Amino acid sequence: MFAYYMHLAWRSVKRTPVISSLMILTLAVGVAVSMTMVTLQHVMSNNGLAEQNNRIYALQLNSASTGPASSTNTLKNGLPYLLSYRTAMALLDSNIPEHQIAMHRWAAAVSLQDNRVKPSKEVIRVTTKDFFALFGVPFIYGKVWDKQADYDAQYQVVLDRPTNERLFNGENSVGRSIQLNGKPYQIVGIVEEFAPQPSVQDLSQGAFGGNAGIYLPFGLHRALSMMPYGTMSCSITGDNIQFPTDPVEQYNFILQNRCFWLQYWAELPTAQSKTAFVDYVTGYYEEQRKNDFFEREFKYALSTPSEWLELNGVVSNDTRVMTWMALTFLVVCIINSIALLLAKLLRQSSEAGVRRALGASRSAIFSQNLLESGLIGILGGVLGIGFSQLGLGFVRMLVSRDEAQVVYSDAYTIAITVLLALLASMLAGCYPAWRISKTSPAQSLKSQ
Amino acid sequence: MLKMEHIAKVFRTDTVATHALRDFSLHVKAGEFVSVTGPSGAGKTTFLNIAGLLEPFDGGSYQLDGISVHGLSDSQRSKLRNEKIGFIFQGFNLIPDLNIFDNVDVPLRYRGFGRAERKRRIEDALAKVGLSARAKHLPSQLSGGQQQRAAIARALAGEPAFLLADEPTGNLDTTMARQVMELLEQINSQGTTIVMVTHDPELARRAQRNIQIVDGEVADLTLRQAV
Amino acid sequence: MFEFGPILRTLWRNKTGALLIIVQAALTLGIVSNAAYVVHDRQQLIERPTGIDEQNLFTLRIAQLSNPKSNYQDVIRDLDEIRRLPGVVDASFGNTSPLSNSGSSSDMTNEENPDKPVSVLTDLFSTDSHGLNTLGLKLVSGRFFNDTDIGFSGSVFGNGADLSGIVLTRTLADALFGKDVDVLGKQLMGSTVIGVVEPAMVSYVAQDYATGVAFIANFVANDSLTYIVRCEPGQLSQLMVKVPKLLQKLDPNRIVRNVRPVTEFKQRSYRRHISMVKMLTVTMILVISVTGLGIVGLTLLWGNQRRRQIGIRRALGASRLAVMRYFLTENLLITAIGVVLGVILSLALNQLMVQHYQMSALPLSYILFSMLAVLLLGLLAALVPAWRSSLVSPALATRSV
Repeated sequence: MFAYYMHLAWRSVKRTPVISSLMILTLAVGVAVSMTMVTLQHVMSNNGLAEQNNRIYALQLNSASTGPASSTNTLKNGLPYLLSYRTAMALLDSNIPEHQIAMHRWAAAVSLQDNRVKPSKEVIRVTTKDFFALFGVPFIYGKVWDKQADYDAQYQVVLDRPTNERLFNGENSVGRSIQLNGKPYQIVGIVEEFAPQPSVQDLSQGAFGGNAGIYLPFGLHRALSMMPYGTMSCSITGDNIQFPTDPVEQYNFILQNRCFWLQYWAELPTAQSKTAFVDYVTGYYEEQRKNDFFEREFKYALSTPSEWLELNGVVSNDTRVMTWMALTFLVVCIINSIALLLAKLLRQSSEAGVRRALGASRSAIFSQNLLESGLIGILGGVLGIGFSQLGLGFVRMLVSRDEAQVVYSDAYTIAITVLLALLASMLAGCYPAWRISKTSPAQSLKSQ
Repeated sequence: MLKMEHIAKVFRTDTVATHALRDFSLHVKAGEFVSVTGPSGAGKTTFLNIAGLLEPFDGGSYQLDGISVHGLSDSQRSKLRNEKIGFIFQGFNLIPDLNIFDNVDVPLRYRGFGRAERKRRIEDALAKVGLSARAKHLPSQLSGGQQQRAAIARALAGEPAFLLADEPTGNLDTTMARQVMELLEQINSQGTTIVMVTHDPELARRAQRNIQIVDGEVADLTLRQAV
Repeated sequence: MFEFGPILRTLWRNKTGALLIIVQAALTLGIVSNAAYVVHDRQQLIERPTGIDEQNLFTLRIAQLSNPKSNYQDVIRDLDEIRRLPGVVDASFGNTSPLSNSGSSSDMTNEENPDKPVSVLTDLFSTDSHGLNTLGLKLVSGRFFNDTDIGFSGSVFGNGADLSGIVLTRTLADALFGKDVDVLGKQLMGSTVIGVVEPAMVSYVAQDYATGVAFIANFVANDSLTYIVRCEPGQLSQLMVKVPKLLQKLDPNRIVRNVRPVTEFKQRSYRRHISMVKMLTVTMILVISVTGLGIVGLTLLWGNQRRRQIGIRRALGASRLAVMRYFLTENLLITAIGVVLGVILSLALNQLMVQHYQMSALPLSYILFSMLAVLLLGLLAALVPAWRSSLVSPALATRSV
């Protein structure tokens, strides 16, 4: 029977080629547009650190001064999204978190002594040693620098696999050295690539700006007068503040004042450790409030990676608005197809009447018409999956290069597309088929 | 064959209830050729729709070939209709997009016959009505009489025990009408029960028995001898 | 004569079909009015004048291989050589690329009235004496820097001690001191205002970020030191090749990088808005096409369904025009109901967007405009099918089907 219905459906589609292709196209465009936006939203909300979601937390403190604080960049929760060096160093003293890191982005000209590779400016992550343990980045060769390198200047470096491949053809390069801004740094370890997209660990430079292939120890700041390759906002008020003229003093002034430029993550696997850490932070805050380093009331936020993505607004409001518009558009397309199918099928109601008289049951008529509308729906859905690839191509042209690299459909979004297409075709197909199977055969025979 | 007892059918709108049939009783024996006449609006079509299981009824009982129709599900009724009843309409009701062969094929498909069986039955039925040569024609390519013969072939293909004809000659000229009538009589002589609704007294008289419906009731039961 | 009564009764009998079109028209209006408004809003944002000669500017950065800091003398030499190239109008340095949306910002405070200090977030742009001509800024009053003004604060957190003067855009001067107040000679963050230029955007384009620009003559040797080159019209692309070559020749031991026209920075800074405009425009075109074609298809189907009825009407004396009018009126009626519902829907959609996504409220004019557009769409879409239906011969009435 299925073959017979299929045959009838195909015949019916062929009989009205314009209307049928209009319906197919409509559904396809609707599915494609909404899928394009759903994919965009999906890749932007991708949490590369989902596995550590209940273990690691980004820390924010209410550390801005009470003065006109417009220049202190805050997140949706009203807290500055970066910490000062002074705060970070104090928190690193705590032994409560299993791992904890302070870090920032930096950049330097990278070259080799023998000039084998073309010098290039590279983004670098300056971090305390727990970075690899906290984010779960495995070492291929060597190991992380010593704890001491987080405090004193030791010219050591960890490379990731792609960087090692580019500079040393992937050999075990531990013990060799690279030059950063002309100064040699000894390689102590090679790690796997760590590049979640969006870069959850550091979203301060855009959704994709936080990944780096070169890691430097945290103890180098004073030796290099390191400033972040990114955002630093200072919130300094009060009388008699004199900015030193001596460069070393100047740098010290930045390190010890309310200049916000560091990201801070803590690994707190248990509720107890979390409570203990919050107590520790509270204690530190209140102590520093006494000497006016903090001026505001105590507020903090510990955000899991997924909360951090949300808080940083990685999926922009624009993307959300577009997604809703696209889904509304899909509804328009589905309604449009239902209306067309209904009109088309009702035109065939006299045929349905004859078939009923000749012994077709109501469910037979329903099946036959459902197959016809389902055929159109599925053709539309399949075409829609194709079109959504065009849509994604269009989006890739519009977004930044980093973003474009991830705006592809994956198994998840393709599954959603197929489901959406099926749903659209079922919605578009079921109602008209049901309507026509409900019409009384006596009625449609009489109206002949 | 057909046994209707005290059938009632009421059409209701919000304000009016129309009694299309009231206390309608009729027995048709196997092999009979019964004509049903009556003025417009008397309930002829309603009777036909109920007899053909196209519409439910509100009261009474109806047995078709010994099977009580009341309480059957839609698919059971459809199956019964498919196996026992052949329909012939005034407007032929051939499906315009299907050729004659495929039109005759329709009830056989719902019957679930295999391909060879269907082909044999279609060819037989078309041969019976003299349209073997027209199998590949579309309905619109045939004359009215030919179309009605094709419709009869379609009704016969499933070898139903019972043929329901609704003004079968209403849209045909005299010559064609006579041909169709002769065909029906021939079919009846081979054992198929026929109930024919008509307003043409001439045709009605050619049946073995004529029933008049007036105001939803059987007015007269005159037994007539076969011609 | 319009036959509203019969049309309404016919529609009521076919209410599912009509209802679907009504909902579709309403949703279409909802999408079109909101999308059109956002598109227009963003376009206005993007097209705001920048006040600088962005079309003829490009920038580049230098990365030294041995020492991360650039030497002032080298920079002066480089810029002098660049200015000598034919086609170059002027060249200067800055602490960032114009319109790149990254730079240095700081709160500027007018403390003339110690009880009521006025604080404004300011784009702090470091450049030299050539900055005015290179960016194409227009001086309103006072003067821009001269070569001796340059200071060498180790970072941009200068407290003004070694800055000889500060130049403000008029916007910033207005915000700090009041509209059109003469600000020459006033003290700001420890230095004296020496000039005012016409409103301009320099580092930031973000609407709600910095209010104005304060220029300081300050050489800060760090990563983000940027060379800015202004070209004669039409010379940009060839100079973007020539200048890096020249710089590489002057000192091969460095990387010349990020050679980009300023328009590219502008594009990037507005990328979010540009993509929104493009995506919404495409969505609008698609929704209008789908709805338009849907109405075409539906009117065709309904027309075919009623061929016999039309034939009878024709036989009873209806003119072609009357038949067309019947169909157009029917269509207009449906779209009109849809549009009225659509107004409510548009406002509801907009309300959601305002509440959850920080969009602004939809002005009435956009709703009115979109209402007209959707009505017109319905009318146009029904035109051809209605005309086709009017071609039905009156003879059809006498023919049996």
